[in-house]
Amino acid sequence: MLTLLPVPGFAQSSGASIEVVEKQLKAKLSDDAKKLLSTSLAGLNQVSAARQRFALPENSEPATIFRAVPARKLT
Amino acid sequence: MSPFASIRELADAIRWKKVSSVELTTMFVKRLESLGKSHRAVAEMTEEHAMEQARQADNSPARTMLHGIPFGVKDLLATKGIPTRWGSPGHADQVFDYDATAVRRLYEHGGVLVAKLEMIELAGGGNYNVANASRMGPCASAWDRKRWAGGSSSGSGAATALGCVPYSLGSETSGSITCPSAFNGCTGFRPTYGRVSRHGAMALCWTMDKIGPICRSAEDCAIVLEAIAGQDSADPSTLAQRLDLRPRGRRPRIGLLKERFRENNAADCEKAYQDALDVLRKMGYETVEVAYPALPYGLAVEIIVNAEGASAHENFIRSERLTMLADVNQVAGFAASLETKATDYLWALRFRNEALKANAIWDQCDCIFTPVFYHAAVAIDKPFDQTFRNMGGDGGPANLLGWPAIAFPIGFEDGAPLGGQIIAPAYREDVCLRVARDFQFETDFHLRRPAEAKLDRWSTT
Repeated sequence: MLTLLPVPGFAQSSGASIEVVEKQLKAKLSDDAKKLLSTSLAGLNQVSAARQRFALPENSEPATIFRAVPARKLT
Repeated sequence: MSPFASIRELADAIRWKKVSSVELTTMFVKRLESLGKSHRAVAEMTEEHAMEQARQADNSPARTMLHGIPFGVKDLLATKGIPTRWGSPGHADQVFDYDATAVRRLYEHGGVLVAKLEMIELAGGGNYNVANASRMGPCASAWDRKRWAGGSSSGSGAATALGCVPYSLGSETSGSITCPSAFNGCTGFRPTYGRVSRHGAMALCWTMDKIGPICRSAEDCAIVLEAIAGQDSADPSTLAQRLDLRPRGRRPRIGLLKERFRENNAADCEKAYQDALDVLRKMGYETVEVAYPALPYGLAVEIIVNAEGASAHENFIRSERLTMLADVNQVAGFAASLETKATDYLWALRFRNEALKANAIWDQCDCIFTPVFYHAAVAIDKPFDQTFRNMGGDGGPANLLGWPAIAFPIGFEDGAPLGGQIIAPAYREDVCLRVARDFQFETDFHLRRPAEAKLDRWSTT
């Protein structure tokens, strides 16, 4: 789910435990937010599972945080 | 003076004393107060500040194209002494004691800040699902109040299209300039990552946030981008390479992706897109079919934005103020994003290097032309998980790899504008500009105005 453009699909299923979030965070959420939190956490797990299906080469390294734009020869 | 005058026309009028900056400021303040606010496009009026700047401009020689010309900025950019609320009810009292670099550069060009413009709260962090995800309520499209103005630079898009400001600044992490540009019939320029300083801009995603102009033509975008671009010691990600928007070499070859008009029931968009291609081909542009490598770009974007957004706003997320957000989806989404795994984030950063393979597409073409969305602006009163189902949108690597894009109107669907975009390699804003400017030289979609905005009652001089 993209952050700045709404894309459906994040909240497809629940199942992840709300217990993984700290108590103080849970305590202040409304009932609606708690329900959505469950689905959001499930979404995180889905994303994690999806990315694990795309294996990266073992020698690959993270992009430099402020230099993700490629230095590429211009034509 | 028409509120829809181009920057060049306004600059000429000021230079030849046909109009004063105070008169222009007065006109745009009145339009913002009435038309702009009624569309919920305004976060904060800055009239007193603006009139002082306008008086100074009138009492000094015009040094630049932007001298004495009013503008608005997305409320994500810090402005000294003026509330900067990031669209969030949880940041209602926030005031910075400095100006964002982009704002300061416009001041240095003689610009007159007339308003902070409304936006989706926290630029959509935590994943929003309703147009109401904003401190001021849902921002209505300039063309139809039953449609949404787009996000997250909602007010920048609506106010510019309505002639409430001559131009504005927006920001984009993943679609927040191109979307409101398309939904309001504006021309919006997302520059290469690092082209414009992010200093003083709310961070949602340090490695993907970009600041750019939302205007009513490609020509205006070029003028504004040239003013705000450049290296900044306060932002280590800014590029040392100077922006050069002059056209170079032969006409760019345009790459065409496989579009899914039929699957998305987008006949009007298909016709607008094909007509636009006909215009460009008649001008001598060559086209070639291209495809991105099939990689999970969107997945990486999602992980990076969630992780960096959670970190940037962790104090807020862990505070009582989190529950003040208007969209409960964002409350839950932000809370959940604190649980993003380090291994997922690092996978996404490693994937980012793999995604550089997509640069091979530039061996076949110099830019890509694709619709921003397959349909015009969505309904303002329905959740996005219902309304965005057939919208399409660029699912490629452009934002992940910091590529620039310019969005501009190419037609209409049921009276509301449709947007196309030219995407180019990193550092090649000149290619985006060249194609969009040529297109706008041959067409008049960018000159059409919302009927409501043309009503006499909004005109004040």
